[in-house]
Amino acid sequence: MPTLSLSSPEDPQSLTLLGRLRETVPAFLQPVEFRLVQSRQELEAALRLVYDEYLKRGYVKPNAQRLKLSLHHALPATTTFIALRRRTQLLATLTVIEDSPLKLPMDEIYHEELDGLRRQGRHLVEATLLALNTECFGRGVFTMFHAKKLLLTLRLFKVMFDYLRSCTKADDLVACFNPKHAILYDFLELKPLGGRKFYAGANGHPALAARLNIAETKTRATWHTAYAFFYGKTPSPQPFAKRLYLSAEDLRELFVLASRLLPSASPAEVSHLASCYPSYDFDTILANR
Amino acid sequence: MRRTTDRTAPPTPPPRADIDQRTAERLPVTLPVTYTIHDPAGPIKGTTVTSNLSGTGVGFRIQQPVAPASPCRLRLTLPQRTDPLHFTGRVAWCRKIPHDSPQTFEVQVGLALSTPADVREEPSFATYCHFVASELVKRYLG
Repeated sequence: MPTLSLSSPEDPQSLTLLGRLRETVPAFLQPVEFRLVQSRQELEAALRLVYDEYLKRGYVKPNAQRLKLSLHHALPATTTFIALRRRTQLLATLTVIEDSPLKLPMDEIYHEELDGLRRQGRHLVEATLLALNTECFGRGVFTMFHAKKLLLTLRLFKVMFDYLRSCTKADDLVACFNPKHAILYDFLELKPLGGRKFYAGANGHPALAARLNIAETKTRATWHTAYAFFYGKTPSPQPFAKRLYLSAEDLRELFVLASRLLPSASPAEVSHLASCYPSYDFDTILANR
Repeated sequence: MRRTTDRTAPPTPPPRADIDQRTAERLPVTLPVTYTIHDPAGPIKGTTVTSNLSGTGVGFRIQQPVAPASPCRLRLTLPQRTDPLHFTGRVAWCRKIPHDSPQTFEVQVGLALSTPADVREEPSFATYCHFVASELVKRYLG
């Protein structure tokens, strides 16, 4: 059986390649901070990055706000992760949405599949709105082969897994993605949940659904390189400190004045959101301008 | 109730030149490779080991120059696998590497792999893709 080895150390080309990678990749990652959004400005910047990147691919229709915002962002459990370089440069983002009476965004096309898991008593979280800033990386090389893109994505996923394991009671991570990104989710061993469908939430583009049993991921750490990394260090609460908690003014400005998402919501949805913020006066939040 | 105060400026995209945007990273990995290069002068076949690889191509040494853009077929054997992966591609470049004697040399070739439109529908490519990703993770996050 063949074994893997580095090229001979005296091979100058190998040394150059290895030297360049060892120098550039850690140097690139070292000043990148992976954490939750801590302010409304950071949330808006993350949602604008998603909007801009998805608009380039035709996954969203243009909107005046230039944000990929949904009513799920009003839920206090919805958590947006960011990769920030040198404190100000937004490189990537990812959001997790916990199941609630609002359901999950992918319920729009995979409701039956998700309900099957719910009937088994599984608590679901959806990983969604993954975006990398193509202004920084370009679009020429597939994420799985571009060291910086791949490592940045996996670092972001590690913070997400740390968060899921230490701050939620999630049983399953579910995701809905364009089939051309399926190789990344295959690599992370998400199992098929639903076949190819057309997703209005992605502007009519095709989608696949997959799930990951979170409890089973720990055993993978012994043989899967990505999970070995995800479980490599004890989850730290530090990236989850100072998380954003939207104020009543934030809710009004984002979901009533700017987007009209809250006035368009069903009474049951508004009632659930109001129960999440018992001290807020939703009549004032929803009042006409 | 906790109120978040925005003390930081909103994050901004970095300038393009600030981050290295080069193409797929080449990893110095040695794997057994069997090749057939359809050079205009005739097919060149052999078995050797890779000197480097990336998601988009592989590099190795052969004994004679080949014409750039020549089509090729490859069989790569990954660690822990007995069944080789099959690829097609083209010669992206080739460069003579002189030895001590001016009469002897080797040729380093870089082959660009043909990427399928849907990576998942091409099992060899999907397996290779996972291998390259695992190597990147092991080296930089392991």
